Amino acid sequence: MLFRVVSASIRHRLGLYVPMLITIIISLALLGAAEIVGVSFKGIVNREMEKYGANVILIPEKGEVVNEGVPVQVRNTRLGDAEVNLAMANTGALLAMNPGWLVKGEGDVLVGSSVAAQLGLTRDSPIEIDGIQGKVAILESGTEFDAFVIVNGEAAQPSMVLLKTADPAQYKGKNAIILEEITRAKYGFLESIRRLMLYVALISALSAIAVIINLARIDAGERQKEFGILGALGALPSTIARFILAEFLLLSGFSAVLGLVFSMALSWALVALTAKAWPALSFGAVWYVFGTALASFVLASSIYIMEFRRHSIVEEIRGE
Amino acid sequence: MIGFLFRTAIKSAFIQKYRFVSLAVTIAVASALLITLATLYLNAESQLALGLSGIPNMVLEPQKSVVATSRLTTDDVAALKSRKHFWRNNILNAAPVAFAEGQFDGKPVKVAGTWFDKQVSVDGESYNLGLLRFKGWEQKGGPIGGPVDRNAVVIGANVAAGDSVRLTVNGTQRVFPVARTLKTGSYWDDYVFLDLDNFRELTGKDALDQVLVGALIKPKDKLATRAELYGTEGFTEAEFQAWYCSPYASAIAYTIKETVPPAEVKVLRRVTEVQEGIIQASSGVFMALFVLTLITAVTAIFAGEKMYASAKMRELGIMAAIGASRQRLFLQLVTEVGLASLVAAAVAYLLSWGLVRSVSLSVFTIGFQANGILIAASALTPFLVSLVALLFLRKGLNKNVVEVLR
Amino acid sequence: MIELNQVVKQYGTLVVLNSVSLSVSPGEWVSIMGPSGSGKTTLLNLIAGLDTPTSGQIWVKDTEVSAIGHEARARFRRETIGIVFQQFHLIPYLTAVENVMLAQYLHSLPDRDEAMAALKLVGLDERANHLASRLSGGEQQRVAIARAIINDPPLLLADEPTGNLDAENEQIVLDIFRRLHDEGKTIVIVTHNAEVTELGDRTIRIHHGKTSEVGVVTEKV
Ligand SMILES: Nc1ncnc2c1ncn2[C@@H]1O[C@H](COP(=O)(O)OP(=O)(O)OP(=O)(O)O)[C@@H](O)[C@H]1O
Ligand SMILES: [Mg+2]
Repeated sequence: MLFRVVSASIRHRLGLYVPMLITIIISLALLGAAEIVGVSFKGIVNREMEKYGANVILIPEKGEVVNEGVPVQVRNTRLGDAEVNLAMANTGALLAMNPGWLVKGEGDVLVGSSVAAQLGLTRDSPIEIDGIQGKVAILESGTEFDAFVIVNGEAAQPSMVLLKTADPAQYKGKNAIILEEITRAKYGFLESIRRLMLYVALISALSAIAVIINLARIDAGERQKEFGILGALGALPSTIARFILAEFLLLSGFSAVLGLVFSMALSWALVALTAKAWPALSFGAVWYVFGTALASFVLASSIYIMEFRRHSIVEEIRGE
Repeated sequence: MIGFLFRTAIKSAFIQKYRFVSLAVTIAVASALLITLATLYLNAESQLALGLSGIPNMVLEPQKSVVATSRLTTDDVAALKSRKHFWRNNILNAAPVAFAEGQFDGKPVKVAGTWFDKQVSVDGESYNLGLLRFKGWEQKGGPIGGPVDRNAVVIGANVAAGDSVRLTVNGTQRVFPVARTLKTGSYWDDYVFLDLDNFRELTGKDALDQVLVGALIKPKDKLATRAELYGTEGFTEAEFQAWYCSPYASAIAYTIKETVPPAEVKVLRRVTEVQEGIIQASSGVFMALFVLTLITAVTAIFAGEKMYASAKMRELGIMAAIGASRQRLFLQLVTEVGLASLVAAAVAYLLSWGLVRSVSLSVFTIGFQANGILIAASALTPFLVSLVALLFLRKGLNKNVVEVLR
Repeated sequence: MIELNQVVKQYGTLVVLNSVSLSVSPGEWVSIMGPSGSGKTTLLNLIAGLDTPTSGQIWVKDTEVSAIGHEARARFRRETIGIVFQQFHLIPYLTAVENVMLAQYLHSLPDRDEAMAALKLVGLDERANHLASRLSGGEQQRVAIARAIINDPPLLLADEPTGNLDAENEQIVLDIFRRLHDEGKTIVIVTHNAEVTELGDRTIRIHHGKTSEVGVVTEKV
């Protein structure tokens, strides 16, 4: 009987409930998406940090063999009348390690922008240095390498090794330069984003609760009339509570599940399309979405129940 | 007629207080959500960009050529904030640097002369520029912006020293107290920094070797990428204007070069690339979240009004039964919904004002102001959405009166 | 069965019932008559425990209805009272038979066959599966009667139960009441219909909140 009454009531109110459910599902999706985005940002930022490139420059001791990174061998040589620094390295590996470096031109000899400006070298012009012939590509790296000419070759006796590592601290104490200037900014950024998204989620949750309660109460007059009739037939407040709770729990479960599905889909689209990354799975989002849906419907039904307890049946039946 | 309309509307609001209050609260909450989150997204983006820009991302060096090397002076540093410089407002900080070799504890140490935190007057405005104004660097020994003794030194985190440093430069030995320890995560961690005036006194060296610049940049797009790869020579006039008037790293470097011709402007690409990437990603995400918030708010208002009208159907049916025209019923709904929107706009304004302030203070330790245009837009949103919603509801008013009254 | 002792019901300054005292014995059929707005419905609501008097006591079958709380009154209504409202008050989105079953459910257990039997009794078995909101006024009234008697209450309160009925259906309903009366149920009926009052043991007139067995007491309070 309970189910029959509840389902009849829902069918009767479909015109009211459909817009309400759509609103709730979208609100819950916003809430879930904010949480998921907050969590996903770590991945996004870490990916962007890749562009920082080499973060450890290791100066090997005499005879020390380094089996990682990109070794670079440096020596002085002459180019025409000028004295230049020549670096020998696997240029492909070097550029792959430093995606932020800008290479202009198709040439195979990387001429640092400072050297190029100083000597008036232009892209794709022929060059001969130390007996190696090639074409100029201009390197704009924003590092010391802008003062070098880099040719592709094996660094048999490396003067330095460029490394890109997740844990630069392990090279402390060695003869190494550790570059992590943006790390602090990164943590600050992540912390701000996390807190911001938390607030966004919180505000969305509060607004979802307020909206749900109020939408669920827009036909409070009709509702009260029905409860009044039930009361007149001898229903206890607990029975009324059962009716309204059953109905609202059904709605909250439905909207929570759909809200979650939508927030997953939305945050996926959001993170994938705008930041080109995979969103992280967040159990927080599950809790938030279900908690908010449940809390708001339970609150809405308790308001009805409280009113029923406070009013006389005659008042209720009039539906005021 | 109008008076009667309003009286009916207000009466209906009072008698059906739940329904009306529910509608007004729904609209208020939805608008407040929109104003608050939109303001947060809008300001958060620039605030996060500022947070990422606390370290130098460009370096000025004297232009070298085969013939001669040019000179950089402290006037060139100040010029970056002058009216001469188009992107002066995006220059967050700048510090002159001159290098020397020194000895400390019998070992060689790198010494640099710089401004710690110097007040500079440019074009009638006063700015604090210098090494200790790079907010992304970690300082020990005092807060950012706190007073620094100009006769002390600032040491990099890798320099092992106590409260003072016995420093030998150019054959002269002097003892300096240590004012701050600076952790930059970069080459600078190996340096002992002197105030530029003291440095000049000790070394007799006048010229600058570098100027460190922290600039607030905008992520590059196709245009800026083209400028980086091929220069601006191939640009049309319009493209050049568009590029010049956007704070891309390349455009700022260009305007710096215009302002300080003897400088070679090096963009620290390992820094700018990361800054651009993160700003780009977050602004995309914020944009998407904004759209989502907009949809949420609009749906909530729409649903509120649809439900309000549905719940009122019976009442409207009675009015229709005693001869009210559809226009009359529609007008009745418009008046009531308009009243609710009015109440809601006021509540929404107060609510979002408080929310924006408290959240921004908590996250960024500064209070954002809700943008005026945004407030106007958000106050209008309920009305606009209401109008659209009501147009849809018009159809509902065509229902058979007998059906409605059952 | 029913005892009212100086019952006053007031809405703000409007005194609806002014010191009404009344006694109904078990098994008695009492008709209440009076002009519109005289307080008939108010009186029934008080007896049914739907409302509380401003002052005075109301006893129904050993229960002081005016003194017990919400839940006790709900229980009292469930066990003791069958009520037919002037406006029927059916749940619009339930069918006729479901409306009857709802009363069973609140009392004990729903039983479809029993509910159908009750509807058959009021001549509505053919429309049992129609929504209450789709029934005519007279049909709704008969569903309300079926709902009132379904739990076999000792006291039946009816507010103009034949007001919307044609002569044939009125006879059906009155037959039901007569049979219930024969079974020993106590019946209080508000009516404007002289024919109905004739079936009763006693008629009470109510006028401006005052009751009287005969004649008219006119007194503005
Ligand atoms: N909740 C209330 N607030 C104020 N006045 C009320 C309230 N309920 C009833 N009244 C007033 O009490 C008086 C008696 O009402 P009641 O419904 O008992 O009349 P009635 O005798 O049943 O009339 P009718 O024959 O028209 O049904 C009326 O004047 C009515 O306006
Ligand atoms: Mg009445």
